[in-house]
Amino acid sequence: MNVMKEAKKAEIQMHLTEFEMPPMQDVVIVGRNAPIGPEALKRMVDVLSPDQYKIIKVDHPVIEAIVVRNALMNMIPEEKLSKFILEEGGKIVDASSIIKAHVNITVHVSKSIDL
Amino acid sequence: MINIKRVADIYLKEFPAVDVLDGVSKTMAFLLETDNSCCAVMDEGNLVGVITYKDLMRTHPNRIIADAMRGRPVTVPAEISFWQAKELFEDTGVEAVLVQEEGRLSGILPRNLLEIQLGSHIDLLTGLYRSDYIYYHGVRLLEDKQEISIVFFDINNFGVIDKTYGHTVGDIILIEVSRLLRENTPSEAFLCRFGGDEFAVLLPAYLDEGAALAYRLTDIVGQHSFSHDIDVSVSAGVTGGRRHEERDDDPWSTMEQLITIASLRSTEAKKSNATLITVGNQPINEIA
Repeated sequence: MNVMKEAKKAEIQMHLTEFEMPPMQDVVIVGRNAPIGPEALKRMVDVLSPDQYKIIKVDHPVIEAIVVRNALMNMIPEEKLSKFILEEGGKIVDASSIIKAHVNITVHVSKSIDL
Repeated sequence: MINIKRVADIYLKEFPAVDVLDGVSKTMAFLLETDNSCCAVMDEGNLVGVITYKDLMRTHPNRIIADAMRGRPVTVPAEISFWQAKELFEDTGVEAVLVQEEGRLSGILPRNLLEIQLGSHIDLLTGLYRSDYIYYHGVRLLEDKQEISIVFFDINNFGVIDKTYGHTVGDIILIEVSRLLRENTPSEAFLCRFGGDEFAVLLPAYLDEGAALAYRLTDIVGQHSFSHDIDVSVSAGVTGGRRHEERDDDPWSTMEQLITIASLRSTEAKKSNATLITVGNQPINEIA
């Protein structure tokens, strides 16, 4: 009679990366049925990065709210920025998702002065 | 004076509550366990809203209660009447409201609790509201300086019908008369069973419109073929008027006087042994 020998092995892998502080970038887009709602996000953000983010609840069929870094709104008015985010974000977000977005704003200024 | 029940008489001062940071799943389990359809939401010891089972069903189970509450909570003062609260529930469609008493949020009023209490203001035999229903709406219209008229109906010889055919048949007659009145009362009017064989209709209209309605309804009842071929007729008394200027006196007593006058007119009509309508034109500024 042949006897099968069994052996169990475990392999452990560990990936170390730096914790993002806060664990979001410039913008978070929250879907209407996302597992985390805007109030929960607001409370998390307020604890981790007080006074740095603003929650904007929006009237949109899929998106419930956007969380925006205040610094961005110092460069572009809130309504223009949120309109842009909703237009672009609305194309890829579904009601159950939470999407974080990196937003780069470059302001070009050109002035003429008298010599 | 008529005693209209107020929200203060019935709202829940001790109520089931969850924290604004509690999870949706936990709260659903809590409501099922405590057999409630809604509960209060507290934030750091303060009452901040109401969450209903329906709200929870519509929300991702991972969310916190703060993200499951829909819109701003509706708050009402404890002094408002049942009827005002009923209108507010109908207008807003909410399942529960917060109640404010002495300047602070002090409890909740779920819609089903109000409906249970309103049940005691409905006449079980006829399904019509009881008298305080038209007192409330009459006072509201008087305070808005609207013209009102009150039509008071008495079933003629109802005592004889009761004695001749028995109370069961008497009840059937009351139900049939109620149905006729309800089906033929305009939607903007308020109908109630005042008591016994008496019914009252409040109209936000001039006296002549009240009189026209009284004629029409007495005619409809008179033409109807009732059970056991019993000949049934009603007498009616009508009164009406308007508060033409700001007055310090109590609109409740004005309303009581108007109803008394309408009732006396219908009794006069009844005594005259015919389906007769007598109209008492009352300038309210004089009687109030």
